Amino acid sequence: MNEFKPQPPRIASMLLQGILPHNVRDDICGDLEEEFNRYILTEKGVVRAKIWFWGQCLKTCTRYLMTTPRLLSFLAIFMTVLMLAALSMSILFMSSGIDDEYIISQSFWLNGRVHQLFFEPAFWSLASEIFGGDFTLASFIDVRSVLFSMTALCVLRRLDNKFDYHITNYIGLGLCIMLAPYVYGYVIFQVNDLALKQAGPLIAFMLLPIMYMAGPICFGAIKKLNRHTRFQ
Amino acid sequence: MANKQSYLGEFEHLVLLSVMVLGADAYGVSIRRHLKTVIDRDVSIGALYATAQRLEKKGLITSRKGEATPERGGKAKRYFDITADGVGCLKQTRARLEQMWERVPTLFTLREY
Repeated sequence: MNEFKPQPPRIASMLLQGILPHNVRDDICGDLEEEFNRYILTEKGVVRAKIWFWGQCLKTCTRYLMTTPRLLSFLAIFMTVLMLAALSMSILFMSSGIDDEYIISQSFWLNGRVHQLFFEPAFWSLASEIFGGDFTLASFIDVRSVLFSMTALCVLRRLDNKFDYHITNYIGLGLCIMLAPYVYGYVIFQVNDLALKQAGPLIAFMLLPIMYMAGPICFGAIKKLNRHTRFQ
Repeated sequence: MANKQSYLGEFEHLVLLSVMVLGADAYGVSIRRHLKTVIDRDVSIGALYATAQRLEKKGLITSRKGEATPERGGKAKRYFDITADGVGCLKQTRARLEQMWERVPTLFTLREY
């Protein structure tokens, strides 16, 4: 005769399977299932046993989700996405031809301090207009920036393969390489007296490499962080 | 010189004692039940495994895979065994705690606090 036997909640089990690291996944899932079947069902009854399993599942998942490497990875991805959104907005603003006299008249377009754009509330108030307008992928492509970024990423990768940098050194070096065109552009603005027409391509070269390199460098750092955690 | 790794945390101490008491049957479920029965302490399974991993890294316990049973959904148990270093560490911790307690004159004095 087939006796009906209550099982642990399927979704909770799937959640545990998905979130727990592989080295403890089977141990913890097996222990909880055994405890559920052998003790909790008889001690508490079906409904309370299922509630107990959910409680254990949430407590365990929270513990393993809130580990420092996972939080740092999440923070790195979050910061990178924010940075990419802000940079995309600035590039689209420049290529869209939106005539906002207040922003266009600002001195940072000609003195190299382009980052000040991101501190202008007027710029952020144009967000819907900028992202709502027509734009093409070509706005984000600049041959000089592509070449620089590809070369820089290759150099970073080769150096990392050779010296196997610690994660902090890798991030430091990555940031230096990523910000190099910005510093270069700033120096050019300080040394030369550029007209607004000449400033455009230089500003694109200051910002676009950051856009191209932020993702790969973030990915590399997270990979390093995970490897570092595994070997600890 | 004092070695940080030679000191046991309170929960590490409890887990290590449980592993020693349970002997060959020390695994996640039995350790949790033991702590609940003996000192009425509900321990989260995540905390238990994190501590066990730490103890294993310190060389105070070892772990091995056991049998898989249907009531575990076909998943194998992970048994823990205490090492000679683990026993030594427990003895040392007990001696240190006893030295500390010896300096508390009487229970009557303790009550004044």
